[in-house]
Amino acid sequence: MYIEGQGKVVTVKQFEILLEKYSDSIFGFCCHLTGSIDSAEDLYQYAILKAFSMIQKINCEDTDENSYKSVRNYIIGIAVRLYKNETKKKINNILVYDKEIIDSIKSEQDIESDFIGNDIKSAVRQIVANLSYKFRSVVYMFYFADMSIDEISCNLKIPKGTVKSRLNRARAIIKKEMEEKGYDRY
Amino acid sequence: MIDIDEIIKESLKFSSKTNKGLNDKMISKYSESTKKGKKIPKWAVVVIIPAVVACISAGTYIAVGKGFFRDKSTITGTVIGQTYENATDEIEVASNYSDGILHITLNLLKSNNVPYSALDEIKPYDCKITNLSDGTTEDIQFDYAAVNKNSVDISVNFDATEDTEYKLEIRSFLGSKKAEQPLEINGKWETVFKAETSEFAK
Repeated sequence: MYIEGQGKVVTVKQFEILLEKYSDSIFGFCCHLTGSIDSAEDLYQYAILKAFSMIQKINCEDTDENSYKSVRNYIIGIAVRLYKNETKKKINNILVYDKEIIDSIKSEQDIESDFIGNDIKSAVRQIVANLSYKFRSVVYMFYFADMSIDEISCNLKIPKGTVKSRLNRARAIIKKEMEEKGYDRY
Repeated sequence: MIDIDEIIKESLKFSSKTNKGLNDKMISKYSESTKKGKKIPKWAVVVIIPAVVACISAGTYIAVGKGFFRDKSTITGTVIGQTYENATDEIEVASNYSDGILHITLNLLKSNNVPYSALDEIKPYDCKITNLSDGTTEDIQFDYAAVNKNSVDISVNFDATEDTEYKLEIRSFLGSKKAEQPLEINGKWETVFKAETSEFAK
């Protein structure tokens, strides 16, 4: 796990490898967070630059997969904070996805084995987008970025209990709204 | 039945290809934003400036000569009373000597404010008289004198050598009010008087 001030300092070469491996997932996270390709591009670039400017402070215990992932999570944490600072009061506005992002999602889902219908996925996405920012960010970190509760807590600098509670409440809201929309078999 | 976690995970899944490197436009934009330095946020202006002003005010409280009450406590921290500090600029002291009696006049400059407005009587408490010709000092005891609006006249017998200058130094007064504990009023006052032979004695 990424711990500031412990382990070895990340080298430029390792940073490049990290980008090679995880740029798509970081960018995807930014897309979810902002709902727009253009904004996501900017946020991605800012987050990477910010992380790169602090490369001397980023440490990882080893060069294994987990360490790279922990640095990726750190960058995602930066992206969340940058987005929060940038949008300020507008942060709780309902997120509206760009057509480009919806197209990307659709093309991705066509490839996937479709054991969940596209209409359901679209409904879930819309419900998540309608969640308030504090729930939305935790949901994206947990479900999209595959971060553990510990990692989310560490990167958002909030207690683990708060992360768990936000996830549970978000899950309950999604479930309830799905039922209201008639998808009650879930 | 499919797990809700699985549905959310599947719904949010998508891959969007991006340029992995950093683009020059963003690098220059970022450099400019970091060069500008951090602005002071509005909340900091609202919170810090009054706090700084308050600190400066507290620091200069003594310097501007404003008196203040201070708790008097035991070694264990139990508060056993109060003193009034920094009263130097709030009381004027004048003295003169004639026929073996030292007359002191106190002018209470803030007689409308506490603690002066509440006082019935007052007396110099910690004080000494220094003979300026030979440097000898002696302690002197005063009796309480009634506070008359904003002035107090105090007299005490004092044997002085003729044609010699004396300095009266007062470090504290003791103020009293009926049914109240006496209040020690601290400050620093000095007045010089000369023991002259009276016309009558001549």
